[in-house]
Amino acid sequence: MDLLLHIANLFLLISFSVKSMLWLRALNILAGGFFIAWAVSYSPPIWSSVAWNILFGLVNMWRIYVAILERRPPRLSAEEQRLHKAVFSELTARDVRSLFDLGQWENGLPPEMLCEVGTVSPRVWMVADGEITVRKADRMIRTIKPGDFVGEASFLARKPLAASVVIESPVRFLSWSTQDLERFMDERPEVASGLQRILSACLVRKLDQVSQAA
Amino acid sequence: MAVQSLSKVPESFRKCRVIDRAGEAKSIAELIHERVTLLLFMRHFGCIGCAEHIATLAPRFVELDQLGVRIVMIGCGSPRFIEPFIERQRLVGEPVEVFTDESLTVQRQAGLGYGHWGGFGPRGVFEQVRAFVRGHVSGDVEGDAKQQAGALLIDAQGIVRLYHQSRSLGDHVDHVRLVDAALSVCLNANPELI
Repeated sequence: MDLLLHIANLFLLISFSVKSMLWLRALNILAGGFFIAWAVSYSPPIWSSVAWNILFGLVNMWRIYVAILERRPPRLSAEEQRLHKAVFSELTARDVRSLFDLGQWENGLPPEMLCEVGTVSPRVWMVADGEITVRKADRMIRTIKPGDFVGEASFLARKPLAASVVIESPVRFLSWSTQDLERFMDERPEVASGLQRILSACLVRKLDQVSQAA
Repeated sequence: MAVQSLSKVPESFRKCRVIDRAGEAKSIAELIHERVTLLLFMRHFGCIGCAEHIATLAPRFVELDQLGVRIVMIGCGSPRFIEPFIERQRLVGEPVEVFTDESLTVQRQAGLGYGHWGGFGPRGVFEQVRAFVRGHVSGDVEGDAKQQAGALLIDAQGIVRLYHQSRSLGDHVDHVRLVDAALSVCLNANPELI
């Protein structure tokens, strides 16, 4: 019966030499099976060893299940895939899925005021199709095109908007509540840095536009 | 008067001088003049904690640069250690300037910690192991090992917008918080952006 013990240890040895965590766990489960067989065949059976190896096996199986789930690509619609490639390429598909789930898709019809000058923006909008207009009094300051954000400056600087955000033509956009976005960024620092990069790139583009206009 | 968050940097700090790799001295006032500046204080140039810190921050340097932030690193070793430090930390071509102050005057004026505890206390030792496990290595002590690190983000008006004093070797300024502060400074300087 010592053969079972040797086989178990051999699988354990192989598991320690593989690089992949998934294979390491799978081989550990296999080794555990032989340890259990050895412990049961022992006279009298070593039940404490059986119990411990069942526990190790369950933990390993759970981790394998989670790892496989994490490897599965999340579902993104054609529109979401397009935005992922064009705007959120810094983030993984899974992180983008979480970000899209946090937001709200809307179709805006004119005329609609999204946020008035002098108020702290309650949301951050990202245009997916069409455009959103930024106005100060009667003067149009800029139009926000697909892939660009508006309200992010108010969100990042926690300051009131310097102009109004209005819908003047049909537009499809995704928006996030600033509170949800802040919580999301606090809870997911690795995603927060990617999102910061995207928002700062958008601000740099706007800064360039302002300096070119000047 | 000490450096404080949301206050103007004191004159005593502005007057401090740091040396570049060529041995040329510059005052802090010159470095922060009319530009948003990030002053990153290192421990000594061979510090494993600083290597870990730079590895975390380096991916954000270009972004900070695009936002108009001047990035200045200040160590406490001899200026001859600057060149090897830049090479070792893969800072060649990065928008970063490196200076040093062996007298530790600038670090003292910035209110940074000083003592053995930060590097060799239980927390410091744990953080050394953590940095080693993450793939960083400790070099020779090139400066004063008792000097602790820190970070200051100063806006173009000379007001401290972010102030971090490291309590130990691995107590780094959070890069998300740092970029958030830089974005906020950039937006406040350009109110027309929305």
